[in-house]
Amino acid sequence: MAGHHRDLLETLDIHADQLSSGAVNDIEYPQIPPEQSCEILPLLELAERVKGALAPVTPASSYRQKLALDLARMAERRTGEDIRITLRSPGREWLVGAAIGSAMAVLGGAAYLIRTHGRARSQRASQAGS
Amino acid sequence: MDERERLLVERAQIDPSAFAALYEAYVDRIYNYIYQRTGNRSDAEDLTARAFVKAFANLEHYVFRGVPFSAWLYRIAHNSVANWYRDRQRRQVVSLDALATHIRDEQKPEELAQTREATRGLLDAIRRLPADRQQLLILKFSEGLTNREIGHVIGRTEGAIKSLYHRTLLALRKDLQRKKRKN
Repeated sequence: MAGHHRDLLETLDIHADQLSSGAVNDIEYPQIPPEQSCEILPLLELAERVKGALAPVTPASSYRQKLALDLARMAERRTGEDIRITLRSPGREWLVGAAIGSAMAVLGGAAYLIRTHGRARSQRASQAGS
Repeated sequence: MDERERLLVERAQIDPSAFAALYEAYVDRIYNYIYQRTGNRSDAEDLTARAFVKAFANLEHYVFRGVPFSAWLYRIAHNSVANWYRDRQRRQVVSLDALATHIRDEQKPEELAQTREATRGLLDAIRRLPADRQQLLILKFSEGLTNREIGHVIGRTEGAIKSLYHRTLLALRKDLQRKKRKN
């Protein structure tokens, strides 16, 4: 039963490939055992009708050109935006650098005050002791 | 993903103007895919434009992880169609555009009417299928993709695509028979 099903799938697949690659009239039907033919043949015929109904279409050339132009304009705008972002970024880097510098200055000041305050306290303590 | 496609994508990720080459390579396929899903030219034009704008906007996020760029693009197109149907709650109908594609000039009026009716019925039935089955038929028969390529778009293995194809044909036949009995 599984073998029969597999054969059926293979037959349909080979037939579909032939349909896709060539004209409907040139199809060589795969070898179908008589007991399967009543099951497969209607499906093969249906596949041929589907292939005929879904004939490919192409867009109008005016539409094609217009869309190409719209996309080219979008690409131009995007390139312009990329350049602006690149030009803006050194400013951002400068801001980040300034912020880090300021933070370091505050920390340095705080360290100096703590150290000075600590020294003064230890001097007072040693004077009081002597 | 083939080498040429990879190079085109990498160039476009660095230089937005290089997206034009990707557009030229895929616009016909994406337009056809969307047209087959919607059935009319004006909606196909609108949704193709949306799909390419979205692809352009998100190209920098595309990373090759086993899914080729073309499959990524088809997924964007598929999502655009799905959102469009969901937002507008449109019923999928077969337009005159779709029917005109299948009518041959040399047919007699009565043959023409029969062909038109048969094609309308079949396209109606295809568009009543679940989205993944519609996708499979369009990618296979209208876009000419292999099972492997279809697998990349739908996110299934080649074996699963073969099974899905069989189930799709069965479902389509059942639906057509049911409609025929009703009429």
